[in-house]
Amino acid sequence: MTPFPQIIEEDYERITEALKEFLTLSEASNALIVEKAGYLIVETGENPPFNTAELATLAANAFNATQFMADRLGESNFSSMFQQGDNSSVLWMNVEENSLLVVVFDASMSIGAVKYYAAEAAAAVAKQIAIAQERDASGGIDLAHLDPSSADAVFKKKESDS
Amino acid sequence: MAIINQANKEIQVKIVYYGPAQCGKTTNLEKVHSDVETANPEDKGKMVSLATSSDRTLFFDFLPIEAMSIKGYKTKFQLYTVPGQVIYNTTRQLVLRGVDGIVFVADSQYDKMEENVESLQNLEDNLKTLRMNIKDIPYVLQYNKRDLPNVAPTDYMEFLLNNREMRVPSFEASAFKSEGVFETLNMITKMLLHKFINQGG
Repeated sequence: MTPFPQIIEEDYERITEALKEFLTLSEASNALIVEKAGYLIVETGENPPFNTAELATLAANAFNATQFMADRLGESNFSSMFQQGDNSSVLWMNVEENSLLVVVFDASMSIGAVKYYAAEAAAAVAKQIAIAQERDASGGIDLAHLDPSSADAVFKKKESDS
Repeated sequence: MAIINQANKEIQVKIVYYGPAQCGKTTNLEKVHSDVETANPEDKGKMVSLATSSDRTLFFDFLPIEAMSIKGYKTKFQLYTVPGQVIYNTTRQLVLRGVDGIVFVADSQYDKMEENVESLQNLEDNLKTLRMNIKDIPYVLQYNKRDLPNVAPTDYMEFLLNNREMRVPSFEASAFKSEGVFETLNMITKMLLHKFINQGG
């Protein structure tokens, strides 16, 4: 499995641009690009009434679970899934090997239109990730300037209240 | 694999707590969540637990937590647990996807030794299924429940669980009392950050 590439400013801007265009066309409220291990990569949309990092993790694991179902049914994968609520609906769409597009939209909207525009957005994002992948393979980030000694005792326990 | 986002200056790292049923994986995360000192309240996310009605982990527990910045890069850690019960093996494979580091929590009670060994073997098997090798992934051992009366000596647990060519750091703990929890987490964190720094990401 090829790991998800490192994202630079240019990738971030292009992906954000594709998602914003998607939100305009589809009228969905929020769109997230999520790495399948559960990491939130890019988020767009106005004031989400939910924690986007949390939603990303839940969405990635739910989507991954369906891939196990696909395997058991002899399918190579399921490319998308959809849940409809009373107020909000969610669409998951595969972008490429390591990432997916998660869309939150009003439950009264038609899934057909959202899915149509989401496929276009997913293709645009996949293209940018492929560009990042190529760049990654030829260079990558140099973290040599980071100081390993600063990694000691990263987390501190609070002093007891008692 | 960890995500390095140069646009946001973020490093995101996934740590999975693995081990047999009821060894204290969820308790570890709960104690990190309740006892960690953070500069800003938003550095510590909400803990998400997908549990059964009897409070056993069904899917996973998840705790996002932000550590200090290292030379301008925000370090974000995602801590997960897997369900320990044998029947949930597919779920364990699922949660292991993209793992960077592992804390193997062993139950120190004598009568749990067989389950500990089986769970460690199960971890190796599941990593193989995901085309990963335990030798390539930083991991630490935590010998939990040291406060209970019927615990095995740590030397014996070392012999059972830490007798590979390359021995890994191990910690005694009583997660219930928040003892050994931060020592364990800080060691796996340190190992991971060293790995990324040395490998240049």
